[in-house]
Amino acid sequence: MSAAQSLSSYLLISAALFSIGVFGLLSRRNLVAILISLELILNSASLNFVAFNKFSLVDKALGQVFAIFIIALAAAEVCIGLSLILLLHRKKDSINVDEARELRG
Amino acid sequence: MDLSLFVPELILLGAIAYLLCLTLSSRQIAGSALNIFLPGLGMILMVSTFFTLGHSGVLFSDTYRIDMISQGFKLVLALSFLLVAVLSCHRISIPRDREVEYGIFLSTSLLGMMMMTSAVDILTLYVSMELSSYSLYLLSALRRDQRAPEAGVKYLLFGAAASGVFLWGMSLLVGLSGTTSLAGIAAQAPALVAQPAFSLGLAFALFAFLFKLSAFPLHFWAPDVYESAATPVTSFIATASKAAAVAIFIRIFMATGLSAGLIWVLGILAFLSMTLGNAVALVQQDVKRLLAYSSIAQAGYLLLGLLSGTLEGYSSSFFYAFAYVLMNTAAFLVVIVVAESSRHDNPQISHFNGLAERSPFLALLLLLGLLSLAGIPPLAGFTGKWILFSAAMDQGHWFLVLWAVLNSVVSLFYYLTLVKHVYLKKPETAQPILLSTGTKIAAFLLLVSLVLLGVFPNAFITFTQQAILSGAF
Repeated sequence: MSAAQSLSSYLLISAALFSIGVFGLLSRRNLVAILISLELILNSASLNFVAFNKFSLVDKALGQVFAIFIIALAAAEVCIGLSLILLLHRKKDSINVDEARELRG
Repeated sequence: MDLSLFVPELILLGAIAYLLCLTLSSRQIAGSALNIFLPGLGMILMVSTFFTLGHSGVLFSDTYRIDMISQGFKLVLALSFLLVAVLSCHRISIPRDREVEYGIFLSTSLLGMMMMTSAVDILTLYVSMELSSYSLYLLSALRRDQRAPEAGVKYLLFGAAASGVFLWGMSLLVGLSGTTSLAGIAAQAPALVAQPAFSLGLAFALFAFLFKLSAFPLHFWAPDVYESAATPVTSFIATASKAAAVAIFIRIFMATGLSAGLIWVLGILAFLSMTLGNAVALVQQDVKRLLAYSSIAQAGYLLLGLLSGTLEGYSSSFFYAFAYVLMNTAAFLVVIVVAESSRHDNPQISHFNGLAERSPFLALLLLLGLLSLAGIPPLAGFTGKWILFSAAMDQGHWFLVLWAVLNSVVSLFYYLTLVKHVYLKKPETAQPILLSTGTKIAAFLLLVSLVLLGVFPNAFITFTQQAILSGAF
């Protein structure tokens, strides 16, 4: 099996995506950018599932079903996230997290 | 497959469908119908869960398991829902035209939590966890207040980040063991536990549960959400969501077992949660923020039982989760009533001045609830802490137990500050606080059960031990 088709290369890509997502989550100040970073994390997880599905899972449907569920729930999450951000934007006229610090936590 | 075991969830589903239809009717009728419908639903759920208590079985191709752990926790969740539903007639900061949505999201969140306690497949666990979380994000933003959307966004970002990390960790676990069912993972865990990737995956997966439990390092949302959500919602987040988190902690740990490294990590997190929660609670003026920091500290105590990893550890965590629901609801009941009487949904400590003169009964309930949270005998919180700490002691975690006892003493300071305001300060208005019948009954039951569970805990301790035994994979 060539290197391009081994499990570890998929896992490395997924780990890189995950790290980029976490970095974006911590460093970006724009709420929409933070949501995009969250999507990266979720997609890295579904990439993992699909890769494991191809190489190691016994039941060949499992990883794909899981990935579809992740896509559906991520869509729901973004819906809720965007609606809350919209609500915040109406009250504050900004979607920067630094503006949203009336609460002291 | 025996669907009669699924009856509580089916009833809840039916109720959610009914509430969805109710959004079509006029808001005036819907709002008042809700005051009867939600407590009634809570009552029916408790009764129907009670009837399934002795049964066990697996449903939906082995992804959903009914046993004493799940039904016991469902009973606790239904009780918590019932109490919140009774207290919901005191909601003062929910927008009038959004009351039905409040009912819907409260019910869907409960459905998610109930399914969480039964989930024995990672996919079921993920879906039910997200169902309960999404509903809570929306509930926490549902308030007539400038700051509510901000708390909702913060809650969502922390929750989504935690569930993303959870998924990534779980993908490693699934990849290594080749199955998504917890029983399958449990069968292979002894061989896999030595692999670093397995421990890494499990540690990442714990993020989501630590978020639900509001333990360090995922506690940042708690003070903000507690402060800016409407008080009944805060009460629901503080009680039901915690109990559900304990249930999945127990399930996952029973399936995977605990490696020595993981016990260390959990010990450090428990230590930091207790210290941080209690230290910051000392300087709070807003009572809901105070209770938020106290709940972070309580999450530390709960972790102590969970990291013991024994039958006693799990069963005492179950016991403490139940006691925690009772005592925290008792405290929140008083906060809700005081908030309503002062027309301010963020009561400060000064709003509690002279509560003993305005309503001696409420003052007594608050006193017992807070003393129980601090762990003073003979209340439920004391018994819970006692068995929790002795379970941890048996595993040799004496330093953590010592630290937890010291922390309990520190926590007594800020609980008693509130009690001092209730009993020793002069009230600003002499106007007595009148309670509705439902609230009175709920308060009375909480009072009695706090004392009874503290004095006669044996029956319930036996029940929790049997439950943990029945839940073994």
